[in-house]
Order: sequence, then structure tokens, then C-alpha cells
Amino acid sequence: MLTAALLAAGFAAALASVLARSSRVVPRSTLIERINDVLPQTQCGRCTFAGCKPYATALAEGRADINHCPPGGDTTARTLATLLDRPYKPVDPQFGITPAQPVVAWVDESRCIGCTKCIQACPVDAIVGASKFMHTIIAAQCTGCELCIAPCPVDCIELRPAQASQLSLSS
Amino acid sequence: MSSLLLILLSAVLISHFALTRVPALRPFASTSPFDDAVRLAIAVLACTSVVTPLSYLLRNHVLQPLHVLYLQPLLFVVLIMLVAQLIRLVVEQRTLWAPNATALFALLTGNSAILGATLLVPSRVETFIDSIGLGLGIGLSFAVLLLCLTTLEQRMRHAAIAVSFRGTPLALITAGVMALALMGFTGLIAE
Amino acid sequence: MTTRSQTRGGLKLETHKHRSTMRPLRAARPAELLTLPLDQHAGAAARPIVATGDLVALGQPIAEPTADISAWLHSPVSGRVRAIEPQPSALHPDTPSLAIVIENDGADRTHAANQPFDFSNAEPAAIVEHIARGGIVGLGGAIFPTAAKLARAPAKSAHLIVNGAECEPWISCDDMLMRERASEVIAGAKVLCRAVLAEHCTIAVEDDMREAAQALREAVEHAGGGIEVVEVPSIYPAGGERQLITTLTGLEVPSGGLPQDIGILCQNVGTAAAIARWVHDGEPLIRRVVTITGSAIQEPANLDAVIGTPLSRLIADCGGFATEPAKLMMGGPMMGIALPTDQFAVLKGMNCVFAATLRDIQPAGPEMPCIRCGSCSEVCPAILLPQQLHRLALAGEVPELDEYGLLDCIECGCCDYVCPSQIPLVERFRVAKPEVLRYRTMRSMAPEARAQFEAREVRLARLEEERRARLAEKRRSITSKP
Repeated sequence: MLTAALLAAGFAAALASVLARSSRVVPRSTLIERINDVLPQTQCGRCTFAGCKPYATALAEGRADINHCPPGGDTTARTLATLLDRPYKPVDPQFGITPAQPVVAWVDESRCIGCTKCIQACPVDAIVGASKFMHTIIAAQCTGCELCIAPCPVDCIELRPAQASQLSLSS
Repeated sequence: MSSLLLILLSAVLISHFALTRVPALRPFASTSPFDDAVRLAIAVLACTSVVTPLSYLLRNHVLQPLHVLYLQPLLFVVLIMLVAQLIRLVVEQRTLWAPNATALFALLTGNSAILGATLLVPSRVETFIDSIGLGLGIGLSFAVLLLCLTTLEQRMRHAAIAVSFRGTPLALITAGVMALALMGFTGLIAE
Repeated sequence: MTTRSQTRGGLKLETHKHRSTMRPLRAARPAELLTLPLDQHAGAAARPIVATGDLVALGQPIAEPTADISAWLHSPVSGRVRAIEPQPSALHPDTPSLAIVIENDGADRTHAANQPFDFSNAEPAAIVEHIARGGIVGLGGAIFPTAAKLARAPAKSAHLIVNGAECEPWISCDDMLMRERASEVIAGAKVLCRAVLAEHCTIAVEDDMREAAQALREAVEHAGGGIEVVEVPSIYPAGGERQLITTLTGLEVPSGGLPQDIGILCQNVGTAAAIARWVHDGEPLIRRVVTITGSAIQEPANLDAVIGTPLSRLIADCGGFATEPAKLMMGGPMMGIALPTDQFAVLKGMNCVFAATLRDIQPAGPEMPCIRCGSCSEVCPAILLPQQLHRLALAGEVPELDEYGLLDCIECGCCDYVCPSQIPLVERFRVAKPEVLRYRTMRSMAPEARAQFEAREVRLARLEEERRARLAEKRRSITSKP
């Protein structure tokens, strides 16, 4: 009887200590990272959050729905639905329309005045230039987020379909 | 043999439901349910391979000499919880698999195949080596069955199923058909 | 050389080539007005270098390439440029694209600057440059600018395969070319061998093309040997580039890769002949053999037509329509494009005009649900699983479509042909492919974009930190002064 009680108590103590220790462990991977890996990293802000990581955080905390991302399109909405175990919904048009083909921005050099406003706006530093110097967009790095179009004071930036040779497709 | 099959299939079914239908019990947030199933299968395999030999040792070298065999179920459960916690720690620290590792602990602890493996030790196993074999065998069988069920569910995801059969009813039917298919093996090994 | 038979997939189809190969090759009658779309090759459309009203000579360059993957375009006749305007093109019948329209003056004045080229003493790079200037593109259907392909070919130890395995039913232009102009094909193969310093050269024909094989072997002997003529089993699509490479060498072109990755270069016999004409006679790519065939044509034949000739002229040259065609197609019944009228012009890539009756094309009935028979997976020459691809395409599961290899589908139509439920599989895959491409682009750009973004955040935070430190320093220096 006594041995049984001692044995049971010993096991319980071992379990309790292991449980106590593990509650203070910090996990290596987080749900937010998982969600961020799925998002297209356009950093365009159309989802109403300031970039892809904030949107991922909101999704993890349940503050946002899965259909906010137009650059990701319905494909990303479907993947997020599987990841977060929520019902699938197509992308809500109020956040934008998914482009039919990849687009990149293009600066009309005959009208550019060298003001650097677009350079400051680009979230991935895809615009090369300096004050009073010609600005140009590195097509291979442009994600088509359209954040440079609004700040331009002379409206000289437009979107063009990306050429296959400009897409940095890893083979 | 058929009792073993019953234990395995019910464990597989419950794990599958937990992985796919209970959000709080999803340890591996991954984009593909098959990947989820693979990781759980590996965790269960690790658990049974460790727990079954330990339970053999515990029973034969601690409980039996002390004549406290009636404590067997209780202490086995606690042993499983210990090992499950350790596995959870390893997964959380060393891999990028599990954002929600507490759920992994819950899934391993509640897995009847693991408990079943420990309780089957006296009737099926003579030596220590055999107990390791039993643990590995049950773990691998669980893995195969779980992956089969998951793959079948994935294939039928977009099929034109009658509304009243979608979801849980179809999963139960699938498990039933798998059981029927596996019943053919029950006569192979004499009990 | 022994070939392994193409044991994976494919269909044994009736060739229907007898009627169109009964008569020898002849030239089509010249047309008065020629329409030359500027985008009749893969890659970027060419840019005109002539203007309306200009006089042009036969073989004179009229449009130049605009990108790395683009091609020159030459005038097929002498005459005057009537207009440069949008015209419909057989490659995209619904959307007109910019084209140069030329009035033929019938004089056939040749462009003096086009001279033969001595390739035997030239560097490979110079040969490739010269081939580019001839406007040569792949005439097997891909219309990829040949010079761009050669520039990307492996530098040495290349195995050159000349593809004469014309596998699609009804089309016989390559067969006739090999029967009657085998010496041109061999001469072109020799130029190509020198352009890529190829160690081996093989010409492949189907095993039912006996006259062509005979003619080629005689031409090889006449040219001093060095090229092997091999017969491959006549199973559709034996002439598909990847399938042919596997049949001849046993090697598989990696998924998402190109033949150059395994040291192989593949060119069509028509392309080789065009290169020979350019290098030896100074005639750029301005004409090609076109098969006019189908049960609705009075006298099917193969015609040597200049590009820009209206199809109606070619059909008239073959006795016109015997009956109203059910469908008029550019290409063959398996991979062709349907044309709404015959008011289109011959393009560099046009190998066949197929005027089909209902019996020729056996239109599909209404679509029924998939019965999971698996016939499609049995016949797929690219070793894919059309049944799974179809299920995933209907459900819109793009990442899984990529995993199952949708982008390796060559759209040959074998799965479509055998489906008992008449499911338009090729159509479904064509619609799904751009989605998969977009998904792949997105996934490949995401890590770099994220790294750039995070670097920018770090930089902005650092600049902000420095600014604050500077202000704090300034404040301290001001307040500490007495």
C-alpha cells in the first residue's frame, strides 16, 4: 500500500516538474511566420494593414479574414483557409482586383522630374535614382504594388505587363 | 489480431478528426493536411517506440516485484504523458513544425494506440527486444493507416458527394471500408 | 543505333497522309497582296524599319528584333509597302496585331545585300549571328527564334537532333521536304553542327516514312557522312521534342528544364532547310512548305508558299473546297487552332491548313462526369496524371497543380482523344496554366521582396535612430553651454 502510494506520488512529481518546465519554453516557429510565408510579400497595403507581416499577425489573432489579399489572389485565400481552418472565400473586390497577368511599374523618363517621392514610397527599394537625377524601376524587383503611382507629382508612372525575361523565375 | 486492428483504427480515426476538425487540437499549422498527418505519424512513432520498452521495464522490474500491478493503467498513462511532453519539447525546440505544440501533447496523450501498445505488452511480448519491436510495429501501423485515411480524404475533397454524406459521415464510412479491407489480415497470424 | 520504343503513353493514329503526298512539291501561285504580321514568332514582336510607300526588294529586311528573344522579318516579294496597320493573324484570330502589307510587283528583284555565307571558316558565334539576321525561327510549330536557342545551347559536346518525326495526322510538309529536298536538310544540319560544335548528329524520321529515310540516307552519303538517320516508332506524339529525345537517347529532359540541360539541341528539318537556303543561297526565311489537306479539299497537296500569301489562294491552288468544311484549322486535328475564315495569311509557323469535314474531326459530344477509368493517364506521353490534374483544375487547387506537373503538359491532346466522358481536358489545362505560372512567379519573387522590405525597415529604423541621437546630442550641447 505504501509502496503504491510512493510510486504514484513519485510519478506525479516527475510529471509536474516536466509540465512546469515546458510552460516556459518559447516555440521556434510561430503561426504568424507560417502565415507570412504564404503571403506574396508585395507589401502593398491593400489589405488595410501596413504590409504582409501585420496582416499575418492580424490573421493569427483572428482580427482579419482570409480574403483581403488581391496580389495573392484566390490561390492564397484557399491556402490560408486550409492553414487556419476557416471557410474559403474568394478575394473581396473592395480590397482590389487580382491582376490578370503580372505587372510592373514603369517610369516615363520624358516626364520624370527627379523628386524622389516614388523612391521613398517603394516598399522593396525597386526604384533607382536620386534627387534631380533620372528615376528608373528595376523591373525584376518590382512587385506591382502600385504604391509609387499616387505620390508622383507629374503622374509619370504607369503599369505594364511584365515580360517573361523580367520575371525572376527560379528554374 | 482483430483487437489490435480495432485499437489502431479507432486511434487513427480520432487523430484524424482531431487534426482536421478541431482547431484547438491542430499542432502543425501547415498548408497541406498530408504534411500534418506525416508529422503526427512521426511523433506517434517516436512515442510508441520509447513508451513500449519503458512500460515493459516498468512492469517487469518495478511493478511486478512490488506486487502493485493494479497501478499499471494509472502509471502507464502518467508515463505516456511524460514521454509525450518530452517529445513535444523536442519538436518545439528543434524543428519548425509546431506553432501550437500544446495540442501535440494533447494528441499524443489521448492517443489510444499508444496506451493500447503499453497494455498489450504482457500478453504479446516475452523479452525486452520484443517490446521494442511491438512499439515500432504499432507506431508504423498507425502511421500507415493515418496516411491512408488522410490521402483518401484529400482525394475525395472535391468529389460530387451527396450533401448529407459530406464531412464526418464520409470519414466514418471510409474508416469502415478500410477496416473491412484490413480484416483480410486478421487470419494471417495465429493468436 | 537501336531505339527503345516509346513505351510510355502515346496513341497509334491513322496518318491520313496518302492523299497529300501523292503529288510532288510545287510552288503556290504568287499573290498580289501579302500580309506579314510582326508577331509571327515567339518572344517580342518585331519593329518595322520601312514606312508606307517604300519600295522593297525580295528578301529585304522590313522589321527588326526588339528584344533578346525576337526575330528579323523579310519581304517575301519585291514591291511597295501598301500599309502598316493592325490585321488579324492566324495565331490569334480574334485580336488584330500590327502587320506590314506589301503589294507584289511581280518582278522578284532580290535584295543585293543578301549573299551566301562561308560558314566552314566562321566562328560559331558568327554563324549564330548570321542565322539571326536570316529571320530563322523554329518551323516545327514553336516558332522560337533559332539564334536565341542556339545562343543558349551547350557550348560543346552537344548532340544535335534534327526532328523529322512528323507525328500529327494529316500533316505531311516535313515528309515532302525530306523526300524532295533532303540535300537542303543535310546542308542545314551541317551548318547547325558547326554553330554549336556538335559531336553527334542524328536525324529522326517515323518508321512509316520510308521514302524520306531513303532520300536522307542518300543525301548524307553524298555530303560525306557524319549524320545518322534513325527511324522511330510512328506513335503520336513521337515528334514531340521531349518524347523524341527520350526515344533516341533514353535520357529524360528534366521537368521545367530544357534539352540544353542534358547537352542536347533539337531542331526541325524545316528549320535546317531554311538555314541551308540562307547560308548557301542568301535567301532569308520568306517561304515554307505548307500542307493543304482535309476531306473538304478537292486535291490535297503540299505547296511551297511565300509567307504572307492568303490562305484562300493556297486553297484555290488545290482545287478549292470539295465540300463546305466543318472546321478550318491551322495545324492538325490534335493541336491545331480553328480559324473562322480563310482570310488569313501564311505565317512562318504555319505547317498545315486543314479543311476538315465532320468525319475527319469527330467532334466531341456533351461533357459527362469523370468515371475514373484512367485511360488518360495511360496515354499521356509526358507521364502526367490528367485525371488528377483535371480534378485539381476544376477545384482551383493551384499549388497542387504545380506539384502534379501541369506546366510539363505539352497539350498534345492524347488524353482528350481517349476520354470516354468527352471531357475537354486540353482546354481545362490551357485555362489553368496561367494560374500556375502566376503562382510560381509569386512564390519565386516573395523571398527577395521580403528581404528587400526587411532591409528597408532596418535602414529606416537606423536612420531614425541616428536622427534622434543627433538631436539629443545637439540638445545636450545647447543646454550644457553656460
